[in-house]
Amino acid sequence: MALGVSSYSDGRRRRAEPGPYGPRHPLLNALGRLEATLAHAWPLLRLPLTVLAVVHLVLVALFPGGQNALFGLTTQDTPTYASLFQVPDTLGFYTADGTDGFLVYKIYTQDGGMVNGVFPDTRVAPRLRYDRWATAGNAASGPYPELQDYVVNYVLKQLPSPPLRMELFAGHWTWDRNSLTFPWPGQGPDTTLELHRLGNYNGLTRTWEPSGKEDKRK
Amino acid sequence: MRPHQSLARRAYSAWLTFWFPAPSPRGKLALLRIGTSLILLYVLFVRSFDLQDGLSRAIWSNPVTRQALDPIGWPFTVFHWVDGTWWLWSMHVLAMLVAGALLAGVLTPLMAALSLVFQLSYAHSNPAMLLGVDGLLILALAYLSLVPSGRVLGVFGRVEPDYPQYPPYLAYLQDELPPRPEQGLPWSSLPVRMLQLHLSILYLHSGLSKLTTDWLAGTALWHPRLVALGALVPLNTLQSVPYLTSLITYGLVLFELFYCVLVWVRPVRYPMLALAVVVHLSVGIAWGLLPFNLLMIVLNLAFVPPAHLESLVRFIRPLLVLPWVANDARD
Repeated sequence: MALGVSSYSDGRRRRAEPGPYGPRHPLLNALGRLEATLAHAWPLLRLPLTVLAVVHLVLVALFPGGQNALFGLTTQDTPTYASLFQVPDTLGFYTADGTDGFLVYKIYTQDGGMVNGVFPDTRVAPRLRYDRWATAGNAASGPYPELQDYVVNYVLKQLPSPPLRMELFAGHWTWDRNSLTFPWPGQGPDTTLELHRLGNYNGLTRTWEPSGKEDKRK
Repeated sequence: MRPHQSLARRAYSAWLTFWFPAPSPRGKLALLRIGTSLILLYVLFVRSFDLQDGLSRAIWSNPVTRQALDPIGWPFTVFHWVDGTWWLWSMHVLAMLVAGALLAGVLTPLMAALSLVFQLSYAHSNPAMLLGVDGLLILALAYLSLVPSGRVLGVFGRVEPDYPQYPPYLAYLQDELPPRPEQGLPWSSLPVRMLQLHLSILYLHSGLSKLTTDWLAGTALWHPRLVALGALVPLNTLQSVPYLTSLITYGLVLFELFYCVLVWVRPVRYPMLALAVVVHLSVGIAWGLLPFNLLMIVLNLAFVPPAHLESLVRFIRPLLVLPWVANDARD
């Protein structure tokens, strides 16, 4: 009588395919078979692979997805190459014009006091690198009224009691390039600080009122 | 090369030889993997201190603004799948475990790909919290996910059949495919070649981006951000010698502009790599950007000839205390 091979034993053999050091996981067996197939087709795969590599590197050079975070190049015109290297370009904020941005707020409390503060405040998380906070500050003080509304709500949540009023300003610290052209000892860089009013939070109506007209203080 | 081959045939052979140089760079891939995963683990560890403020739902930015800061079609992030502190920390710990597995050399293409997914998730969760090292890690992990890199200096690397040193209960997880007569995978040198070209492009872009007023005036070391915060050396002393700061500034720009050409010229490759180490260590210490610059040094290993790195691997292996950290039996 011929000995039939049961499906069970077939399955056992497939699962228990021996590797060099004993039974191997079925996933690794499948990967091994895939690798063997690819190795057989290797002479045909070489040229297409190199063409793909060239296309990828040309796109990297023209639309530096990964490097945009390093060198401030925009991703606005590169949505089609949303490749693995695509990361946000927010690091370009401060390198664009050599300024540092942050938020300044004044909180008028119910007992008549007034509290000044900046966002982000590096003292809150001193272990973090300043650059992370500086990037956040440039983003927060940029032309994003929804973000500023959100920041106001975030700050309000940290307060023990709701304030009467809160004023929000965008601070931009610009350093004077001309004074740096001829540096000598004792001559530090001259800087300017600009404050733009972004809006007010009304504690009575609990609403955020963005500033409509230009309000600049130097 | 045979003389009777046609020009097209010779060009085709040269093209393939360029993209798939022999021998297979297993030791190089292992060192790239170890260096990248160590820096990845450091970045993840540092991020732990500010996880809630940076990534949770109740942070200081709203989804609409984050989309404005991150204008790509599909800002993928796994942190949008979870809600709550416990799940956020679970994801973060999982990312650290995956990075640890990559460091150990367990299923390295899979672990590198998972680490890449996590890094992209961190980047797109809060774009305003990104640093240069994040983008560079994404670059390195993308290439490491294309090829196994745990067969040398990995806990489940190939060992001699009569000398099994790996932990017995974990043997089925070994980062190894069926034994093949060739030396490694035929495509294992392709990602390294791509990384070399990518690095050249990176340096060129960096050099071109420095052709601005600050750098051309030789005053980049005077940036107030360096003066006020982050610098690990007394910049005031350095700035009291303007000629020296100008020399350093121009030297840095020239190095980055010409690296992409000179590193491919064999006689000056090692001098350029030595210069890269000096530049990155100096900039890392002076600017306070050590993780980024150490990762750049690690990635520069891609240009070291494979035979030299294999020698380094043979030197390192006996120094490792774990008995099952294996090297390839064919070495």
